[in-house]
Amino acid sequence: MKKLSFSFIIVFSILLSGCTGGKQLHERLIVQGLGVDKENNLYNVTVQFLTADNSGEEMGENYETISLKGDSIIDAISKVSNITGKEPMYSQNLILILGEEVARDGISKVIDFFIRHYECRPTVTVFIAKENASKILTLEGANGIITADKISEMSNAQRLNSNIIFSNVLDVVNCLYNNISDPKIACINIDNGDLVIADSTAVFNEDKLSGFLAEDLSRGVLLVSDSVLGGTEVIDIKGLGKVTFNLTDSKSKVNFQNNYGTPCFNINVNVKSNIYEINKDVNSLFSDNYIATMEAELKNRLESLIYNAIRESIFNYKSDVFNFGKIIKRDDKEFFKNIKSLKEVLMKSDYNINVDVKVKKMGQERIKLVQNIN
Amino acid sequence: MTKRQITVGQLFATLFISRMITNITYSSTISSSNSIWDQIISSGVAFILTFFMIIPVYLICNKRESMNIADMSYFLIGKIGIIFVFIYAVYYIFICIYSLSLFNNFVTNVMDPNISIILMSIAVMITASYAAFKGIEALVRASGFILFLIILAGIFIIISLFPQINALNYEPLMYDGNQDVVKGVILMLSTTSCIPAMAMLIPLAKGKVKKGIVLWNVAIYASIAVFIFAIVGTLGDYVKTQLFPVYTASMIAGIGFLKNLDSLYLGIWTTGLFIKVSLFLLLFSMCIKRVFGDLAGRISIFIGAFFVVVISVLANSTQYFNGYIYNINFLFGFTLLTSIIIPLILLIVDFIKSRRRKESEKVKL
Repeated sequence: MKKLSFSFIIVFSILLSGCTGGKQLHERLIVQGLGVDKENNLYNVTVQFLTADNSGEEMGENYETISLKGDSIIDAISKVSNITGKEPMYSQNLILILGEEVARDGISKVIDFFIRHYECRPTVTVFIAKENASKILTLEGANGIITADKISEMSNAQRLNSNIIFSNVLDVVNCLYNNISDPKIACINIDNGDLVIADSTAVFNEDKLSGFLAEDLSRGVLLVSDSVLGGTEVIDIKGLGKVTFNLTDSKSKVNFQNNYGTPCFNINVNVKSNIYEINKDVNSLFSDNYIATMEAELKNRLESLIYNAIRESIFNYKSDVFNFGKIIKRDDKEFFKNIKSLKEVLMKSDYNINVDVKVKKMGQERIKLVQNIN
Repeated sequence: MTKRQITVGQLFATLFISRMITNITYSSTISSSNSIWDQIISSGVAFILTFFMIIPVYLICNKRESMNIADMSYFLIGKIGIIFVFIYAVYYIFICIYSLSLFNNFVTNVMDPNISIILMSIAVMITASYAAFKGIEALVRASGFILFLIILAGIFIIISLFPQINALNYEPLMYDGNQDVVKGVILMLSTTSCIPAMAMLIPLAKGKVKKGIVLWNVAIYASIAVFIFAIVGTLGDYVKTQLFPVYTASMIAGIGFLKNLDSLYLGIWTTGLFIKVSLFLLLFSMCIKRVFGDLAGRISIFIGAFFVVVISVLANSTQYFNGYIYNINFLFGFTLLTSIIIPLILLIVDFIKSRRRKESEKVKL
């Protein structure tokens, strides 16, 4: 038995050695960002990747970018090996940037690779480039190339500012697959020649780009979706001057009901806010209950943001980025079963919007340093 | 005849690991259903039905202490009982093939298509054969440690998924009728290979078997329900595009700097696969031992392992074999045969024999 065990160990230590045929890190192309554009019916894929030092022992922060053309995404990317002699590794990919033309043509055609390939992760952040993706991925900033990880970190802005809607592959595929709601993807642009900035949200009708929501309207969508965690609203209030509200939290509740043939959505949003900047001395205004005035002004502002976001998305772009279709299905499945065109139903619906605002904190300034700045 | 070598706790810990491997490979592709969410109802229904499925095996194992289903087959119907023992032996080997080929399928589709399936299958089966060769006591001792790690990893993945749940991903239950619920129940019951395993193992266990069965069943279906709740809530309709949705959910799981917990998932699967395949190889060898004796039983572990490797590799390379192995109706029928039908036949035979004996005793008196 011992001889048999010994023979097994010898044979399988040779056959099953994990490193046999394995690839060293410097033989792989560590893809960090992918950009997809369309030119003359061909996909132009821009690959931003990390390169190891020649020794392969240390990984430097060396980024390179290559653009390749092909009939499909994988056809284009596979050509990268012709240039570098390395095999692409997608598991470290952070971002996917789709050019505006690709988005208008339909993102279903390009997303399949990112669902199917075994190395692709569903958490990759998706962006729409207003011009083309390759310009963003090859942009030289003041401190060198704008790297994919820096672009990826922009998605924190949703939590911090709540004025752009960020989505990953998972969110996008979810919308494309359920045929009820439409995708919404952060849109990035080149600003001042050397900066990449997320400045609006691209909204889709099914898989085709139908328009862009500006920052304030994006916040309107996020308020309905229960996703506002930060951001500021500056309102010029009569008698109080410019007041800057810091939104800290929001909770929304959206219900659907069929009011004798008229579909109706009741949107109730609770928002908490702090105030850390007022350009007038408010201490003299205690008798006027100025906090209630501020709350009322912010309520009006947020209600109008939601109303305008609905008008722009549903009526103008025919895009259900609010998941209203899912809410109908949840609240009245019989009504949902009989819907022929969801978009028409949404356009005929009434939207009752109610925002409840609470100002929680006013900061620690007791007496204003400079009185009544205008 | 067998003596009691393990505790009830050890037995059900091993069976829990064995079933967890099936739970984490839960896939709507295998059950050919569209809605995984509906199958949360299936888990409730299957939970109750599993109790009913266990009754015949529990009764037959309690009829004559220390006799497993193979012993009972011989005891009650003589040499014809070899047919039943043969059916159980084939079932246990089939479960090994099903588990290994599913793992191979996962590795080639989700991990790396370039991995050598043959070498990987051989490696898995050599370690499993070694564990099976060491016997049930060594296996259950390893299970105790592995169970602790699996529970820890499972809880960590689930907890990290909960903050990512979107309530809108839960659509109305049975929106498209009840067919997905039925398919879910069939899938869950057909993968309850632990009941035929209990038919061989309960006589080896000392302790409160009833309590073990209840706890095991509650833990199994509670974990299925939690998995379904977490993956539907986090993945939504994306779940329908995935072959192994629990793995996909583990890819998006993360707390703080601990992200991409798919490695934990892989850890659960590989350790659990080792326990499951070892256990069912051991059960296979116990059947062979009952028919051909001790030496044949020992050798059969390696012969069984060889067949498992060959067939699971073939299954991975040809669609022809896949159709049989993942045919849920076939698996359901096979599990019903070994869980309910054969034990029921033996119970009926035992009932008739004991009645005749009593009648003849009455006549003698």
